[in-house]
Amino acid sequence: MMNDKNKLSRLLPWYANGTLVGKERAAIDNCLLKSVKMKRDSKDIDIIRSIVKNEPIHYPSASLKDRIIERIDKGQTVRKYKLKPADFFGSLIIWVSLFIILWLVFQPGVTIQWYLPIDSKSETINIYRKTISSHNFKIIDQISTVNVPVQIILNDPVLIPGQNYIYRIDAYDTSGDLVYQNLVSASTSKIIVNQIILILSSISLTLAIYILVKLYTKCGIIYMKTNGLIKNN
Amino acid sequence: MSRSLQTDKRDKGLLNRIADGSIEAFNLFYEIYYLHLYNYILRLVKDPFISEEILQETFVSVWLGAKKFKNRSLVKTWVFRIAHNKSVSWLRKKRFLLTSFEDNSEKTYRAEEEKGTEYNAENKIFEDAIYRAVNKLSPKHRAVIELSFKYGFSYKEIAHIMNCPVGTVKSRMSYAIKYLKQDLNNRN
Repeated sequence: MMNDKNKLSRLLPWYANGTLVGKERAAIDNCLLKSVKMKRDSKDIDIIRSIVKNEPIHYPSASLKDRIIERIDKGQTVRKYKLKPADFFGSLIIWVSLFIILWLVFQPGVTIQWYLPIDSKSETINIYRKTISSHNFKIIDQISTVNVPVQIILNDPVLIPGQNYIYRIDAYDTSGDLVYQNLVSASTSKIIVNQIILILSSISLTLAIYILVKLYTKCGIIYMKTNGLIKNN
Repeated sequence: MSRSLQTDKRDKGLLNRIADGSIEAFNLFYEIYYLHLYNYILRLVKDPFISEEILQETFVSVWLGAKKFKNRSLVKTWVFRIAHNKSVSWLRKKRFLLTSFEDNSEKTYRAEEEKGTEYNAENKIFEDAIYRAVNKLSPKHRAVIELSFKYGFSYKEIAHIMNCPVGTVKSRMSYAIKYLKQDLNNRN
């Protein structure tokens, strides 16, 4: 009982300022009706509260607001920038897309052409690849067509720089007999400068696109504000 | 809708506009809070010059942090929390936090508008005694008294502003009230 009273008397300041609600307020109301000490404490707190509440008001210097606005005006350009997830993922998508496009356009891998004999009557063509050091060929493409093309072009873009590769082409006729076979060797550039240029180009292009989008948005807002299309703050 | 919620809705609207870079909204926000904040900071740090500096930093933080406001508290609580943290951090730097000290800078306070009510001499003496007693409290106890009695915050809001448990707020308040009563009894 005593403990409860102590707990409640600790809440009296907030009973006095009117922020106590619900059960706590009801409990104090109830206690105030019964306890003389509680009533006295409450009165004391009311006195202290009214005096503190009416403390003299002090004013800052009149120029303070201007100083703050001036700081903000200067600081507007250096507002701390934090990369938002949307910006990050947006930029990442742009970068990956650009990288793939550039990779496909400039093809840092190898391109090989074969001319099949016109009378080969081949129907299925298998293309294999292996490195010089490895023993087994691995199939990398299979062309199965009724109208067998005379010229076959193979683009193999995903290769290790500075590596020698051997390509083999096997052409089979309708009965599955080998009618044509050819071996071609190719090597990729030893220097990975091309790849670095590709990565850097895609990054710089991503940045350029990002800046352009931001600038375009900003210019759009300024344009709309000056033309009264949106409210000017 | 209660008045405080209406006020908060207005303040949140202003904060949103501040986040979009509106100086006009910032001006309005400043007009609403500068006096409350300045007086609160002044009661804690007891130096008008430092108070202005802290107030300046508080409003710059509001400008920079408006976007970060997460609706977890009332705007009033949020802005007082910024002011409180900056004041405490200044006090900490000056190693004044744990020691209570006499208010020597009272004389340097600017002459300000007194309330129009007429006081009789006895009341005035009593009030001055309370002011002096409050000023003798340590900043953390004074903060609880000011936030509760002058600015009408609940104990939960004070706990949020001061970044401490609710129990600590209640203990500090009990201590402060006990101290004020004791001080007044000793004078009597």
